[in-house]
Amino acid sequence: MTKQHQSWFAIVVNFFSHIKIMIWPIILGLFNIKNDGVIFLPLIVLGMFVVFIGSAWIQWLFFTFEFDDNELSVKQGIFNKKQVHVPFERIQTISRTVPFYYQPFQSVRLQIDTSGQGKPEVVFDALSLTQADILEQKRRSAQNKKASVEEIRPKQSIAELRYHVTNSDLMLYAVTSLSGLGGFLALFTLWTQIDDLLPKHLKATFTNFVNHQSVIVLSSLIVIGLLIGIVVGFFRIYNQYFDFKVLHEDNHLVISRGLLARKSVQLKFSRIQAVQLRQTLLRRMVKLMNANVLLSASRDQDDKKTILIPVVSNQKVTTTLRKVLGVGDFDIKQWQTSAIKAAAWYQVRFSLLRMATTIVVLSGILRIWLPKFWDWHNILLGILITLVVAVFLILKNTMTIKDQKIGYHESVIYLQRSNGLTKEGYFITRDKIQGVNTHGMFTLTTKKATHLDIIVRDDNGGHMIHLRYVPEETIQNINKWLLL
Amino acid sequence: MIPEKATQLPKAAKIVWLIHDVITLLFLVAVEIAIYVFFLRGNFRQLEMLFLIVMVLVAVLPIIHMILIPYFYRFRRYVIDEQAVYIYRGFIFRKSESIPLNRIQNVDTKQGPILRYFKLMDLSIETAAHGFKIEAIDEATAKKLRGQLVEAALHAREVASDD
Repeated sequence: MTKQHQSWFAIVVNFFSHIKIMIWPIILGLFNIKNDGVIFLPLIVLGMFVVFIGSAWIQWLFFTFEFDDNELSVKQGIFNKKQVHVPFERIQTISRTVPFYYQPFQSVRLQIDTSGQGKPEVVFDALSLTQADILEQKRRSAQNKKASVEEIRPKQSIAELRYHVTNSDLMLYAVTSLSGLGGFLALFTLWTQIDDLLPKHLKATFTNFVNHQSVIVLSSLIVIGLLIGIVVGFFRIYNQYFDFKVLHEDNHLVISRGLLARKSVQLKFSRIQAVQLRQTLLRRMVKLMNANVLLSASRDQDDKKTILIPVVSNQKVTTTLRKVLGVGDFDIKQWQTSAIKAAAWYQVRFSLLRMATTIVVLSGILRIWLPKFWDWHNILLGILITLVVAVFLILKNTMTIKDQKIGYHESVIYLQRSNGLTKEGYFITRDKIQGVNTHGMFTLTTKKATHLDIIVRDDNGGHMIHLRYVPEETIQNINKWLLL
Repeated sequence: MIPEKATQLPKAAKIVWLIHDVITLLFLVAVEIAIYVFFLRGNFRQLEMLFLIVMVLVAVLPIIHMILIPYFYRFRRYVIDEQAVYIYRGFIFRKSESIPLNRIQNVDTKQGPILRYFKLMDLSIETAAHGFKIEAIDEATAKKLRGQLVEAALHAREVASDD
């Protein structure tokens, strides 16, 4: 085993990551610098540059790794030394990211994850392409050796393309994701967060500008902001999922994507705990959905969920899933009664009672402690808001029950639930269900129903799928199926 | 509904819960008195009445728990068979949890001084996603169940092993 360093490009990456951490203190410091301090500005900038580049170089120098056919060892740290040993055979996921600025330097960012830790065991900031390829080859050889011990040479791995997003599908996904709205809200939140830190003269200029505009100009500004947010959101999604591909390679699923930063994740099939179909209200209107996978151990660092199919029509979902995952158990045949007859009424009644309790408490507080607000204007406004909320709750809770579905076939169960707006369906194999909980008030016994929670593993914790007013008979059937 | 074959906890569990509640009550009252004497008395006159109300409410919680001990005891039961572990709780708010044996990852026993005095133990059962506890079962049963669960889980995992 020979000791190796990362690519020299890691020094540049570390340097910029130091700058990224310090960027806000630096900018705010520059804004608040006094007139006589400006003379020292070049010196301060030069000093920071030397410190950052020196620190990045030391970090690179003290990060070394070595490997043989069985194990990768990584040493890092100057005073607090850390040594990590990763047997190739235990690696669950290798994530390879190639941002556009890495490409001219033939470097990649590589994360290696074994199960159970919740974060990658090893993160290489910049490895040369050759180093990354060798590590992946070692992992493949070690895991193939384990799979078939009688083979003298590890078999040549063949990557088989199972899904490739089309440009029109990607556009549909970006348009229906509404992430621009989120971007606009994030910008607004960021503004409120840094508002207190900005120098007074900048804040005063902005406030003065806002105070001197008419309502029409301000509304136009908000609309323009929203439009920019939606356009930026569209391109963010387009960039993230550009050329999205799913490949099969031995016992691994390889997901690669990205325009400016190309990202590739290899994950073991056995890590998949459930396939989740998700449909937001907007996507329900256009009959589209996306499929994600819930994984054991750490999930994709940059995303909340690991996306398997960005967008697919309702009709094609099972055929596409069958092709992508290479298993055929998505045709559910034994459908169960998912909710008792009056479930929608009970659900609506419960939420309206909860709303009524809140209104009574709020009105009491207003009447006793804030009597000056207890006038007919506010009472009328309150009644109007209550009526709108009540209609919304009736529709939302009716949909919650209407969307509920339970069915199984052989070793796969399908559970569908919704909060009235977003619908989620789960395909789970029997061996991945970790537990079943039931709960409810004693009054449900007379209705021969109870609420049901099915627990599956997600990341390092649990993911509960809540179903409401499920008939006792269905629960008995599920328990029988689970213990087969 | 709790099945008839479900096992009830030993009667000593009621005394253990009562002792826990008394200790919690004494601790809360001591903390509340300390806060009142050292921080509030004379300094925030308008807050004194509010604090007294909160103090009474907080102290009432363990007392309510004490009163409900016979209810908790009556409706807390468990079943362990060759396929799964089941726990049942409550009558007004009913809850049941079940874990198939081959999903069990860890089985731990825990025993504080009070449990040790009454020769009882807590049994924690964990899967990869969640866990639950059978509280205050007698020592011999806890050890027997622990061995039984570990053995059953190992056997079930050997059969269904995929990794």
